[in-house]
Amino acid sequence: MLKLNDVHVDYGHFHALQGISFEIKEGEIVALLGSNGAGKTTTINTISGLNKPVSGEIIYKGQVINDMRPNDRVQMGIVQVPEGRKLFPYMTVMDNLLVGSFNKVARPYRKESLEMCFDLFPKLYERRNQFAGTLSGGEQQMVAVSRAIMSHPEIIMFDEPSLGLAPVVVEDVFENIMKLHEMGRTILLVEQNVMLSLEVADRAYVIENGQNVKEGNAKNLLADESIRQAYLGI
Amino acid sequence: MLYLQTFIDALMIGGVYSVIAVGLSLIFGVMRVINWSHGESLMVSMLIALYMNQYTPLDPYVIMLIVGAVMFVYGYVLQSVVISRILSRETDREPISCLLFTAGLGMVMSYSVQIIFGSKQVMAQTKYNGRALHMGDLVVSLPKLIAFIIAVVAVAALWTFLQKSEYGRAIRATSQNRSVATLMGISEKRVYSVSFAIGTMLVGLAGGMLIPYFSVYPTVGSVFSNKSFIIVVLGGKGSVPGALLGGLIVGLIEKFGALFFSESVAQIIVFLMFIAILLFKPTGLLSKDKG
Repeated sequence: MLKLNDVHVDYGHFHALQGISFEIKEGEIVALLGSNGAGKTTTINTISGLNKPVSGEIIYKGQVINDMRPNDRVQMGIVQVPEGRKLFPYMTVMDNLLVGSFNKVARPYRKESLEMCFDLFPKLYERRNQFAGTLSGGEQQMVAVSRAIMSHPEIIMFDEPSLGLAPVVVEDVFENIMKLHEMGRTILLVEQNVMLSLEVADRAYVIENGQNVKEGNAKNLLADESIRQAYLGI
Repeated sequence: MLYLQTFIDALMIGGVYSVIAVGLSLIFGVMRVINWSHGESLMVSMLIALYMNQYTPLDPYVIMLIVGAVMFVYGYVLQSVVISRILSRETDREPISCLLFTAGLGMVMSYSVQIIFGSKQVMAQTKYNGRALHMGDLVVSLPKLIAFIIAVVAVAALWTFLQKSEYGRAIRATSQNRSVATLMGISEKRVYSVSFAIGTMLVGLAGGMLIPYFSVYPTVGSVFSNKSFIIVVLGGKGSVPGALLGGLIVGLIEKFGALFFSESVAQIIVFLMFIAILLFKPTGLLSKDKG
């Protein structure tokens, strides 16, 4: 469904991605693992179109999308839940959700998408007229996930969804990722919480210094001695 | 009675200040670009309205609507063809080169008008000039009253558009976080062009409503643009109700300052208030922004 072929990205003189390649098949949960600064967020932002690759290809449903604008990629079904939620703080929860379905493809599904969000997070219905900036971290994460659902995505990319959340809330977040997966969404998960990620993912790629270093079945990686040492500290 | 008369006069000029300032505030709030040619756009709008009034049989307020439409197109094209190219080279959130460009553009506009039309003050002759309503001892200038009403309606319409419409929501989202807005499928460039166009359209309307009682000359824009900057800071950058409130406050200070002291002292008070706001409440009266 989504494929990266030897993608390179520069930030000025800094060579952030030095040949990232991976593939996500329809219906999969794929985790992208790596330490701080490995290039995970850059990878997601490159898929979203915020960064432009200097070489390599991003292929979505058989089409090279390197030059497509970020807003057009959303219309094609690629959406991300950005790191740190990044809600529109001075807009109500409802407005945040409605902005999610701004694109023309998502708009006809607006009503049923809204119902889906409120089914998944009944609390958001109570909070719908509150400014998003006044919500707790966990609630903000719910809005961020719902906002992504509103854009009628086929693939949802989560960038550090557990960042800054209490452990109990983190479990909820992962539960919801599983739910979305069951509803048929393809998921790319970027997480520092390697243990949890490998538990929910089908497959995982490990990146270091902007390059792939390892890939495989999540269960095998979980058992891999070097992964355990490098990322799990056990 | 004198106070009531002054109060009415203040509101009526304050409304026009508001509509001009709202345009500036919207452009700044969304793009973080301060449009230094805002006053000159007003001057050009007044000039177009003046000539249309002279050479067409149309009612000045029909002309006002046409000028508004013309300025909408002008703003859209200016942003999408010129400013967007300068902006795309800037990585800074508050782009200096756009500021310099619009300042330069303003000078070109005002000096071009001076060369072509001369620097004399010209007053449009419309059927509304000098007409007034008398209510007891109160005298209310008809064109000023109409201008005030249109100004308030325009600001209210803009506010409703931003709060309730699909595109208004997209504009608000972009002003709060532009990269995340594009991740929601919103075209940043188009939002910028529409916002800039609405900003200049409001100036076009203001130009049209001013000509029955305000004479046109090449530097007339600065009379209003200086105040607009103060109003935007006073009301809160990017805030529509703030600009309305700020415009009315500046109108009140001017008129009551002139009543109690003199017109020039009133201007000094306005600028002192500007400095005080910058020192003690730099986010403005109604801004949601905390920094």
